Amino acid sequence: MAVRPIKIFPDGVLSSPTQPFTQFGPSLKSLVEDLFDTLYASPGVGLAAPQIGVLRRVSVVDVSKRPLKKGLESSNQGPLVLINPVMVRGEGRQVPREGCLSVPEFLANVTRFHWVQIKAQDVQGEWRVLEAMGFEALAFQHEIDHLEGKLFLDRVTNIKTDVFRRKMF
Amino acid sequence: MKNYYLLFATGKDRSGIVSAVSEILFKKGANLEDSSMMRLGGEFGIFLIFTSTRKNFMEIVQPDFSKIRANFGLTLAMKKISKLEAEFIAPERDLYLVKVMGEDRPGIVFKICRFLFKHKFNILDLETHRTAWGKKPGYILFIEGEFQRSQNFKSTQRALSRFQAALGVKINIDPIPVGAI
Repeated sequence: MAVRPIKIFPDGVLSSPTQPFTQFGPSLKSLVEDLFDTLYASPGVGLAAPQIGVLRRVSVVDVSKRPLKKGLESSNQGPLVLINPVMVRGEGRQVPREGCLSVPEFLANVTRFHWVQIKAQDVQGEWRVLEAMGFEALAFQHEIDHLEGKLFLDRVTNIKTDVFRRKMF
Repeated sequence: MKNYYLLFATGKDRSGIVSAVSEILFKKGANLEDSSMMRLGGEFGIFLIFTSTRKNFMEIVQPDFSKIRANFGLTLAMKKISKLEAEFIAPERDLYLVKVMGEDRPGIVFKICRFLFKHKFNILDLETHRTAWGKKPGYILFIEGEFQRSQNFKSTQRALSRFQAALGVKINIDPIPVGAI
């Protein structure tokens, strides 16, 4: 168990392709523990393996760890481990200002689905279907993007109107 | 007769600059037509077009502008422009977004702009941000513009991968989707 340093843009690992996770065993347990330890030591609500330098399709999400910002709504399933997650369906639209632990200097308006259904394996390797809405749905989409080597900046079309410097995390 | 003017002002950012400039223009009977104002680093910049029907407007307004130059430490200049220069000219062709993200290195803007110029790309808007929190400084560059001919896009795409590898940054050039309904 360890809090690992978070990779920050422009670290190349953040835009590198990831490999599916297939070894469900002690190495996965250790990776998931490190992801949660690092997440809970940070101000974020989700963390993907590439953010700690591991190019595997594993991420963790826990929107319960931070009070919801005014104007946002969210489902709340507590701590979740998403292994090899894929989007199944998305509906509705939300454009909150999105931030990222790996791009700490900026926020951006990114259009996301308001409700999503995803498919992911759990730590035992069982496939599960998960649904989320609002902020948690945004976190799912953001984490899946990380596993595709995408940052929220990749989804922005206008730096002048949609990207904002943030003062601090 | 309505005359068009361009005003440019920059100075250390502090509250009251916009209020002071716009107050003078309002009190002298000018109308703001178009403007762009922003903070860049610790500086605040104003770029605005206004009209006035008064003769010798530039002379009339100078004493007031001298005061705000002194009060706010502003560099302020204005010039008369034609109506044609004042009008927004809509792009005639499809717009493209050039997005560059990667490690900061000397000459990124120059090399990319030269590459685009060689491929007959007209830059309409350019914005950059430098990041400093990572192990190495990062650079984000967004350029909006249009190709002089649609086939220039294809030839640029063909040349892009080699140029990108030589420069060592990630570059995407994509049409900006327009969903006019």
